Amino acid sequence: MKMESWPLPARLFTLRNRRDMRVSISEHGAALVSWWAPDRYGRMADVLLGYQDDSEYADNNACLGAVVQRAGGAPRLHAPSWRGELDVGGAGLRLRPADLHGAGPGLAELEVRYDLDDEGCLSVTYHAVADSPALVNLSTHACFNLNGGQADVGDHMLQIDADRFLAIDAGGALRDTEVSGTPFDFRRPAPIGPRLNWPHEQIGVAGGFDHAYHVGAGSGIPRPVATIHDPGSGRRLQVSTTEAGLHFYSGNRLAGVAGRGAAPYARHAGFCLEAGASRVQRDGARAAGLLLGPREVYRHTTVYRVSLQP
Amino acid sequence: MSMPKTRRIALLFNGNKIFDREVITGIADYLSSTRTHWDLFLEEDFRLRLSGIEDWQGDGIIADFDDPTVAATLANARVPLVATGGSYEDPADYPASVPYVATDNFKIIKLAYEHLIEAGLRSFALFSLPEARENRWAQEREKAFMALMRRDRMEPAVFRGQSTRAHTWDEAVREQIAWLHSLPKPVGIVAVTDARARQLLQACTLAGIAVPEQVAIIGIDNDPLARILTRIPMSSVIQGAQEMGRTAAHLLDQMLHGVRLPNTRILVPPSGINVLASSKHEPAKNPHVMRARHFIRQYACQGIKTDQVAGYVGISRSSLESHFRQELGYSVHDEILRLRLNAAVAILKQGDCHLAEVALKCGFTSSQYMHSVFKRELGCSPRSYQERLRSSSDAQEATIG
Repeated sequence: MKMESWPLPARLFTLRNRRDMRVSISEHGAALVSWWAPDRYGRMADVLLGYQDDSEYADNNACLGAVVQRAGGAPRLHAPSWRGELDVGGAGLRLRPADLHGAGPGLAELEVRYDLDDEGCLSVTYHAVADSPALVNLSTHACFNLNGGQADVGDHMLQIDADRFLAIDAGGALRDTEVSGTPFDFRRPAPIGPRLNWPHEQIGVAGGFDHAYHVGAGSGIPRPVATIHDPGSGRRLQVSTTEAGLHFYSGNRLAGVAGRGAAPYARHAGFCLEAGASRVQRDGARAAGLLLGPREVYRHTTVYRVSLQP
Repeated sequence: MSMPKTRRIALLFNGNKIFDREVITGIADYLSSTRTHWDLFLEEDFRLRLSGIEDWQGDGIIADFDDPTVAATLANARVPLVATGGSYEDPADYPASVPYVATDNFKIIKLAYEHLIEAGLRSFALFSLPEARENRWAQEREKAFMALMRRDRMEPAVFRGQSTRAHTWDEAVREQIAWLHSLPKPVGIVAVTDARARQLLQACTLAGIAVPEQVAIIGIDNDPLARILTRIPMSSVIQGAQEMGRTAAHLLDQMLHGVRLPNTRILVPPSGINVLASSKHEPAKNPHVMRARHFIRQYACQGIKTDQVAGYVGISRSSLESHFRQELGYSVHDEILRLRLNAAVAILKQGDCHLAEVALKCGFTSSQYMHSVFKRELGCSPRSYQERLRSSSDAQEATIG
């Protein structure tokens, strides 16, 4: 009898800190399931979109919270079944060799770690090793709503440290573009909702924001790239990353997704700020790819910090 | 390479107001970020004058349409025009065929009101301004407040008072104090501007009314000057004025490039609240206990259980219980029972009633259970409690008679 081939029930790991925060991670898709955090008044709410039942993360059509591969435009669900373990301060999840092929060809190892500290920082660290050339651009499709779902994210005030973004041309080709003079200019904090109403063809192309920003050169240490806060609850999310790219998605296709709430999600019910490799090159052309050679190691750390807007 | 064409743009605002200054800052920010070349026409003292604007030979105008004179003067403007101002409840109140960038008055009031709710207040009032052509935004804020009160089934308390003039100053303050005294305490008051909030804070000080314990106040504009002039640091809603400026500049920029936007209307929400002492109603309390009591106050009589309270607060039942023990020295269930008991006593005071109905109305599972809670907490049955009430009121009447 081969016990290991039996599908083991996926487990849910919960990280806690001294601010009463609780972050849950599922073995299904290594998904970030929920993040309970206090608002200005100490009221706890889940700032992540997700499903009612953990089993729903097994197919996860909307990729909510899942570790994804961003090769083309849309996020692709990576692999459904991870095995994880809880240790001091965090949880580490790996793909078993048998499941690695689902993550794409060429990978020998793949691990994601989630660590929560007392300052409200959730570090997401990705680690991959290839045995033959592999395309790797990992990210987490964590879909946030800082007011806990009381309203959509239109009033959230977003700030992204980026001068350039990738406009989407007809046929899906990407074009390196300056943010200035466009609704994509979030160098100073601006509400998402009104920006969706600025007259600009790129908003029409994606039905909102679904674009990659270039947030500087990649580095070994995470550096702050974006901040977003909700005026009502006072909750703030800060994003730091080692990566050069940040994909901003304003929840344009969330309408009808059956999540945790009584009613299905509405359009713009959440937003994603996904760090990953940038395809903006100095010459404006698309990078050849994010190819990992044999025995090469891929490392990426993104830190999400939830706190209060001072 | 030719230089980009420089456009001549008029900004018709009152730069002596903080809100208008912020809008102008947003416009300037857009221009510097886009390297757009606009020669800006502004009055030397930043005050708004309109004489001759009809004949002005420029390329475009961004104007404050909260001022009805501006709106009327520019009704037939031949140059591209973008209007800014307040949002209106009735769509018919917006100027026709002009792209309009608005501060969202409803969301401003909602943010202030919900802040006061979260601060633990149960009674609310609005301090407005006497109706005038120039401050339609104040009436819109009143409408927003009334709508929220209706939604939450509360009586709206709105006071307009007098406008500030030197010779009626004392009378105006007296009226404000009388109004403050007439309100149930504690009360949370939203003032339609920081200037208005500041006057009310002053009236509270004069009348010896404790802020924020008796009267919690929040203004609108986050005006640093108003804040400096108050002894109690004043809370305020921050409007999205800079973003309004950036948006208006973008719209005008598009129009100068031939894009037609006659029916574009963009509402900008407030960008935050500056929470200071004037609205920190229960600052020392454990936030979980505060949240739980807020919930229990609303739903105790609908048969809620401790689990539901913990669910609302978002922490486990056991940690909520320990917070309660620590802060209040009793359990969550005790708090629920205390409120049910209070509600039952209030009904019994009104006179004849069926005890089974009272029990049901107050969230007790049965009249027997209500009976036992009465026995334990008040040392008598509901009926004898009612008789005691009756005899004591009879005695009072006898004394008066």
